[in-house]
Amino acid sequence: MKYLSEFADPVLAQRLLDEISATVTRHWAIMEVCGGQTHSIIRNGIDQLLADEVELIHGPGCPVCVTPVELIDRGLRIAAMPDVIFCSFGDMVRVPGSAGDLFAVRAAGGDVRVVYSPLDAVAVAEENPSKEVVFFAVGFETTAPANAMAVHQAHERGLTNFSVLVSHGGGPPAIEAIVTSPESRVDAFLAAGHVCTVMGTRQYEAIVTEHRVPIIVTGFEPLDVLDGIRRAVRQLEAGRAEVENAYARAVRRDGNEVAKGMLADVFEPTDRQWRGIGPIPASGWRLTSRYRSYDAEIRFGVGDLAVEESGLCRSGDVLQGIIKPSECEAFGTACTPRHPLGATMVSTEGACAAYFQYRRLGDEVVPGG
Amino acid sequence: MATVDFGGVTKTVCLAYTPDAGIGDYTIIHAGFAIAILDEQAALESLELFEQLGIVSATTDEIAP
Ligand code: SF4
Repeated sequence: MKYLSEFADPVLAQRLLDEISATVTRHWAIMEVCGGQTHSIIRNGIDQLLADEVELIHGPGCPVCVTPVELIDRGLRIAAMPDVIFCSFGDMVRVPGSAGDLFAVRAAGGDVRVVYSPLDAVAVAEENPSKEVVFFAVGFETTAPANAMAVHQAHERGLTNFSVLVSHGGGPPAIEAIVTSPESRVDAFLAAGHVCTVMGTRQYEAIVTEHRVPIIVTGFEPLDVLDGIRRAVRQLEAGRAEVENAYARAVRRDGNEVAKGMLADVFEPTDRQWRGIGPIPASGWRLTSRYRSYDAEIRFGVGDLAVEESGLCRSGDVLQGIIKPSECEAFGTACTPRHPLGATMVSTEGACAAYFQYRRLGDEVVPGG
Repeated sequence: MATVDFGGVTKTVCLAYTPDAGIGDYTIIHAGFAIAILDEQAALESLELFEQLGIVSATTDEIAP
């Protein structure tokens, strides 16, 4: 496929690796923020091929993983109600709440449906006027425009039986929380390229200036990730801290103005909980007053349901890059993708799932392999 | 709405956020929406840069004492 295989070329990968080795003189810790990048890194063995001085820390950029457990429980409770059709992206269905998952609700007779696009959920609402149709709107700024459009369309069409359970977040406040955390060892960030296609690179300029930490907007293919690392190392070695765009084929400084306009109409910033991490001010989104009546938490009166997280899972430490998944005692034993204890073992973007899929056997890897 | 070919599998996606997308453009799709059009020129420039990198550092290695 165009611009996929080209950006996985093993010869060019080796050139980038050599360039990084030639530039680096001391230890640097670089966090790849996005779970899609984590998977690319682990699958291709990039962390093992890099110069020893460069340490990659896996970040919290997995929307399913950071959706608070109480929000999942609220979804489970709504999904189990009679006359509700609960629509979700596929990767949310197996994510454990405090007791059970959406899959279990469906097995017990709940009408839980997997959709590819939130517009599919709007269509379900149109086809089922006697049912309440709820869409679990999970995601960062890449998915939020789609979900915003669903709410907007439901509003335009006067659909009163459609609502959304919102778990949106991301943005500079999340990166800022990591930068300012006393436990943080991060010297530079690879920001999520797809988020920046929507939000642009400009949103990071203030953080870079204030905290003097390089942020490289980076894609997902092996060469993209290597180029992000190369640029981060080059900045760090030169004592520079700038926003750099290593994903120029998809990202512009201002992002996607049309999508940002829709986001500003439908959502406004709010404080939010990040599963395993805790509260981060202004890091989440909720519906604006114009669309507040589409908020499923309000409609179904589940907003104050609070729960305790299971003690075994260390996904919080994984999401903050404090431990690697394989350092969790339950990894691969009590916790597997079939019987996940934490969301990071379920999601296709979760670090635990990436390690389980590609790192259990300790295989040697080759670039692009 | 438009039809997008995902390397063999075709799907219908919404182009509301990429009003400039035309036939033959490569796009990035999320949750059924095109959110960006790929800039082919920029893609080629990146690949070109990686090619150069190798050559430049190889040359530097050779002439370094
Ligand atoms: S391996 Fe399982 S239990 Fe351990 S941190 Fe990951 S998801 Fe949680």
